[in-house]
Amino acid sequence: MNFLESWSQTSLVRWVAESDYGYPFVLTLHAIGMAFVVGIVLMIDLRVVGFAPRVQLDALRRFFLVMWIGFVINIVSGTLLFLANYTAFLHNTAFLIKISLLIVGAGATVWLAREVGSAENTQVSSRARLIAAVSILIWLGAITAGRIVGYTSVPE
Amino acid sequence: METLLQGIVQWMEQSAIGVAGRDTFWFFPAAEIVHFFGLCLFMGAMLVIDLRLLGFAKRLSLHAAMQFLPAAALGLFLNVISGIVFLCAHPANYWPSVAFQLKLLAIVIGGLNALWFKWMEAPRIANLPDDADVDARTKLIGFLSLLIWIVVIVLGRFLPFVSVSTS
Repeated sequence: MNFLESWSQTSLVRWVAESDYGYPFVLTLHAIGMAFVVGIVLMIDLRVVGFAPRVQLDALRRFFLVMWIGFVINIVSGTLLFLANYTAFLHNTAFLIKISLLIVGAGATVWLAREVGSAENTQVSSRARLIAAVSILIWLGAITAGRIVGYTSVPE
Repeated sequence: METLLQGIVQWMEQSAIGVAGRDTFWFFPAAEIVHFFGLCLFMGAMLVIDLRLLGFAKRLSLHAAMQFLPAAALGLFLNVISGIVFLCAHPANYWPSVAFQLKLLAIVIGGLNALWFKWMEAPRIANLPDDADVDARTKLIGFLSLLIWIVVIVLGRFLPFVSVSTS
């Protein structure tokens, strides 16, 4: 993992790891990105499950843009947090579970977007409902794992 | 007044919730997980409603978007409950902290902004068509809502890193 070591020595990553406010600043970006990603996914999931039935699904799809903006914020901020202390993260089970859940959650979201992409306002397939319900649990799991990561990997 | 507040803080600290928050290892982290999930529910609903007010996704019915308000209310409820757990468990980490005081202030301002929307703006937009563009005054309220709640997230995330003054 030589490239991780060299990336972790860049001045940006050192700022995150060592300055007084670098770490909380990037953590804050990560929390805002989470609110964008999970917030929008939850609203779409809730709508597909049957909540807020007057909301037109095809109009709601515009908000995937907001979700992807949050996703980019969190890939950048998450990578910085990871590089700041990568050896600890690589051995952190909660972190590996979180990353797995993120991949599954992103996959479920893409799948759901396809599933409801052509749906008119009223008709949602039962398969889409199931994906949406599971998606809520996946993101709750990702938040849970992320919180446990916060307890088990504090930069020294 | 001073002693009344101190009494309330002390009572919270000695309550069963406070004791559990300090002595049961999973209780405080569990409250944090609820706080983060509640944050996502709340901000998700606010993003959809406020961005629609600002003119994003105009094909989304202005009135249908308001159907997400119960999700925001549930998120807010989860966050108040879990926030109270934090306060009961470690009051000295919060009440004297500038970050916490500013966060409380921002929440109050956000609440007043929401009440303003409910009482002053909602009646004005009630009869607009579904695809309507709201006027600048209502847009300002929607913008302030997003801004204030993001500030609340920022202050909350900085809270554990801003030292509590000992004076």
